[in-house]
Formats: sequence, structure tokens, C-alpha cells
Amino acid sequence: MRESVQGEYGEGPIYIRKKGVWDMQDLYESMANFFRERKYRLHERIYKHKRPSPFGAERQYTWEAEKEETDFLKFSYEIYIHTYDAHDVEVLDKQNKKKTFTKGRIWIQLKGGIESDWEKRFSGSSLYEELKKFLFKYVIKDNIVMGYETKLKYELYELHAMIKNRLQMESDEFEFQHFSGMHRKF
Amino acid sequence: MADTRFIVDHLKIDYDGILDLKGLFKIMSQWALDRDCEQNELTNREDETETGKHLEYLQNYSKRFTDYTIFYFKIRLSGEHLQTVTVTEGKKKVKRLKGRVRIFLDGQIMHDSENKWDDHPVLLFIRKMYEKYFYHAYTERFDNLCATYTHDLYKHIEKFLNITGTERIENTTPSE
Repeated sequence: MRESVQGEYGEGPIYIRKKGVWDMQDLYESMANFFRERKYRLHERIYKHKRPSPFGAERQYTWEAEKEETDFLKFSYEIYIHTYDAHDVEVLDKQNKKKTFTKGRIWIQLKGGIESDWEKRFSGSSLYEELKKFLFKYVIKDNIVMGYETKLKYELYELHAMIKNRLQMESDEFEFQHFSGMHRKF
Repeated sequence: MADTRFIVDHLKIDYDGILDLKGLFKIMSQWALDRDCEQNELTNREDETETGKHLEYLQNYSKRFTDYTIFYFKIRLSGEHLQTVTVTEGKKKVKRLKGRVRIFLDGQIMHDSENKWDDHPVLLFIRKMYEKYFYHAYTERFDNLCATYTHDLYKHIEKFLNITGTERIENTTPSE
């Protein structure tokens, strides 16, 4: 079974749950766009469509996004989306155009992680492993904890806020949005 | 293990009426941002039913004061039977929610957040002695500060919801 993306440093999991009506196509495209704009490689690991029940279909999506931030650190995200009792509904927008929305329940789980030494340069010997531990504990720890881990955290919350905005949830105000960059707003 | 204590426990606001829920979330996160708090959203759940929207929201704001002490402000918001209504504010028609909202605030303080003083019973003993006797002034000051911040958030929310409460004496320091 594949290991979790969280690695040595991680954020999450953070959850979003909604029961109601939402635009699944818009949500899907927005999330994919979010990673594309930030130069992540996005893989859809699992897509499961289960036999529809009388209430609607059940679908599971597992996505992984990764990016080599430096020659030593790799950022990765794991997104799990599960929809229950989902069926399509036709809605009219303000311009009286018909759009297909999805009605049902959705559960989204987000996790972010940092993997160090993704090129495995310090593997192969216990001496190298000890050197790596020393490096992490005394030399570059502040760099990671105050720099890269913070960046990952705010990026994850930016994604979280974007998803809530697309789902039109009440708590979509995100006052920390400028923490990961002034000109980067979803 | 780090020592976590409740300073302010279950401060409650029970509101039934018309409210701007988006604005409420905004002012809570603005309050946290102004005080350099880190956010950690634990639960966010919305259910749309025939009787209205049901909401459950749990947010944890944390502020690291020193390498030894962290403050946690837990906000739990639950909304029931929230219906969208159109109201006139000034000359504009806006959409608001009408229903019951309950907000619970907790203020917690965590000492020895990096778990440096609990490996050995002797270290733990030294830590407790220092907290209680040698650094008592600092410990008490942190407790007061945590209580002040939590009550400040409470007043912020009260003002936003336009609740006119009676003046009450705030017990800022827990009695030991």
C-alpha cells in the first residue's frame, strides 16, 4: 500500500463536509487548475464509481500532487474526495441558462507533506543517515519549520478556502489569504 | 507530555435571529490575524435540509508566545435551521441568514510545548516547581493574558451580533 504523503513534516488532514447542491465540474477543474498554476504534477490515483443506489451514485477520488521545491525538499498533497447519494440536477442561473449541478453529500480530506532528501542522496549508509539527522536537527531545522513548512501550511489553507468558495459554504472568508503571496489569490 | 490547561471554559453565545454569517466568520478570522494567530480548522460541515441549513464549525487559533508557552483559542459554532432571508440594510437589499447560532469559546494554555521537561520525573518536578513558585509572576501573567484575549474575542462577536449584554465581572484568573 502506498505510504502517506505526509513524510517527516506534514499538515492536516483537514476536512470539508457538505450536504446540498454544488457544481462538481467547476470544483474539479478549479482544484486541478490550482495545482497546475503552482507547477505541481497532479495524478489521479483512484477514481471509483460504485453502483448507484436508489439515493444516487457513490464516487471516490484520490489525487496526489507533488513538486520538487528545492533539491532537498519535495512538497506533496493528498486529496481524497468522496461523494455520496450524488445525482445530477438542472439549475437555472441568473442569465436563465441551464447548468448541471450535483446534489448529494461530499466529503473532502486534504493532507500536505514535505519529504526531505527525495533524491535519496543520504541513504545507503548509517553514517549518511546520521549526517542527515544532524543536518535536520541543528543546521536547517529553522529553515524548514519557519520557512517551508509555513509555506506548505498556507498553501494548503489557500486550497481549503478555494474549495469552500467553490462549494459556496458560509465560512469561505479567508483572512490569511495573503500569507502565501500577495498576487496569488484563487 | 505538554501541560494543557483550560483558562476560559465554554464561554457561550446563543443567538437566534437574523445574522450575517459570512461576516461573522470574517471578523473572527480577522481577529486572529490581527493577533498573529495560526489557524487550524478542525471541522467544517454544512448540511442543507428541508428545514434549513445546519452548520458545524470548529476552529482552533493558536499563538506561540514563547518557546515554552502556546495559547489556544477554540471556537465552536453550530447553526440550526438557518434560512436565507432578504433584508434591507440602508438602501440596499442583501441576503442574510435567519436561525439559531450557538458559539462556544475556550481559552487554553499549553506549557512546555516542545516536551523538553517531561522526559524524566526529576525534570517534571523542576518544571512544576518553577511554574508554581519561581516563575509564578509570568505564569499568572500568561493566564491573565489568555483570559483577556478570549474575553476580547467574545466582546468582538457580541458587538458584531449587536447583542447588548449586561455588564458582568470577568473572572480573569482561575483560582487554584
